[in-house]
Amino acid sequence: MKIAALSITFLMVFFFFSPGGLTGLGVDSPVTYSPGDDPGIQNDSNDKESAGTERVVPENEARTIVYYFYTGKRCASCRKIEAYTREAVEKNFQENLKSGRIVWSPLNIELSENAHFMDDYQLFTKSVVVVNQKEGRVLKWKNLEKIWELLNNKAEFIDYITKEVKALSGEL
Amino acid sequence: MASLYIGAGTAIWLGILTSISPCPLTTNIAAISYIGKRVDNPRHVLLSGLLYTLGRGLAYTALGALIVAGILSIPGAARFLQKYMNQLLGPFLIIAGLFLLGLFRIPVSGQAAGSKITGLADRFSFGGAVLLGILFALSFCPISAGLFFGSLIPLCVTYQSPVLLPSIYGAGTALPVVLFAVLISMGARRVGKTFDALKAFAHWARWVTGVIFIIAGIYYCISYIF
Repeated sequence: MKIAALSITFLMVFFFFSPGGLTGLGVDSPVTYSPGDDPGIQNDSNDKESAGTERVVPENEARTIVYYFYTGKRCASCRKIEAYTREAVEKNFQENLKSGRIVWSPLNIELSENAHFMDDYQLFTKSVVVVNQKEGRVLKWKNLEKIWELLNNKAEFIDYITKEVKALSGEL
Repeated sequence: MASLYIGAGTAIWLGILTSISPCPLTTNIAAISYIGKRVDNPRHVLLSGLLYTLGRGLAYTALGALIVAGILSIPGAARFLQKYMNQLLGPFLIIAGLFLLGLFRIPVSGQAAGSKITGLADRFSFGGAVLLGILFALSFCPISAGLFFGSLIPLCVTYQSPVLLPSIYGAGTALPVVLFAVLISMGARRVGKTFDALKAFAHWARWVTGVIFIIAGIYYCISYIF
């Protein structure tokens, strides 16, 4: 009996600690992450806006920033939230992304320059926050807290992000 | 009144959603093995499951009530619990695992020592189920934090229910775990029909539970401490 138990234990240890053992099943296994490691994610920038977008919108016009706040420990669900939000923004706001009226900005809040966002937007976990601002002043913002409920329904998740971005950005 | 039923339904659904999401998988496996370890005694399994549910319900109710009353802030409580409870959980699970493996024993002397030990072990086991429920509930991961602080607390505020809805949510988080433990216990009883076979199952289950606790503890230590 003990041999059987030992075999199961060995298999479990192997399963738990093998590379991708848990993540392969979609289990939230925290791994250390640095923004530069992931080619699919834009790096943090000090001006809090995504780099590489062609901005033609004048500085004094309102713009909407879609933030995804993450930490150094990444999990399968957190990556899913980031991928779905990014897809929603890129698919449904293509023109506004190009003009700079809408900005997609994933940020690591564990970096000292981004730590203030935790207090600014009362963050309590990884979050998607949509911010409407003008001339650097925040006009309105919303933490999209339903993302965790909709995580298992991609279509509804993308629809939720799209509707909220539209609502926060006003005339869009 | 009808709207409170909707609130209660939403709370239990949020609880189940929390429980079946991937991030509490490690603690759920540990809880299932702990609750179901006395496969030879279905009453014990069911009672352990109810006490585990009680522990979770108590933790969420206390936390929810403190937040709704404005004594704790959501960001402060969420950040503190996510950081420190997960760090505490690793060493706790390893020590509990060593106890379950029988590496530490409770010294009992005098007459009727056997029944005393059994009684003490049962009491420890039931107390352990409540403690496990409280600790696992308070060890928030991103999904459970998002659903509890982001969805359940606003629901409690909307329905003015700082006690009932968190306790229902707690029951929802324990439901799949208890169900699995009971099913495993019933399965074991069907396979091991004789008393001796069930005794062997129970001994084996306790040993496996200890090992699962140690593995889960090492996993938590690696993830949150080192």
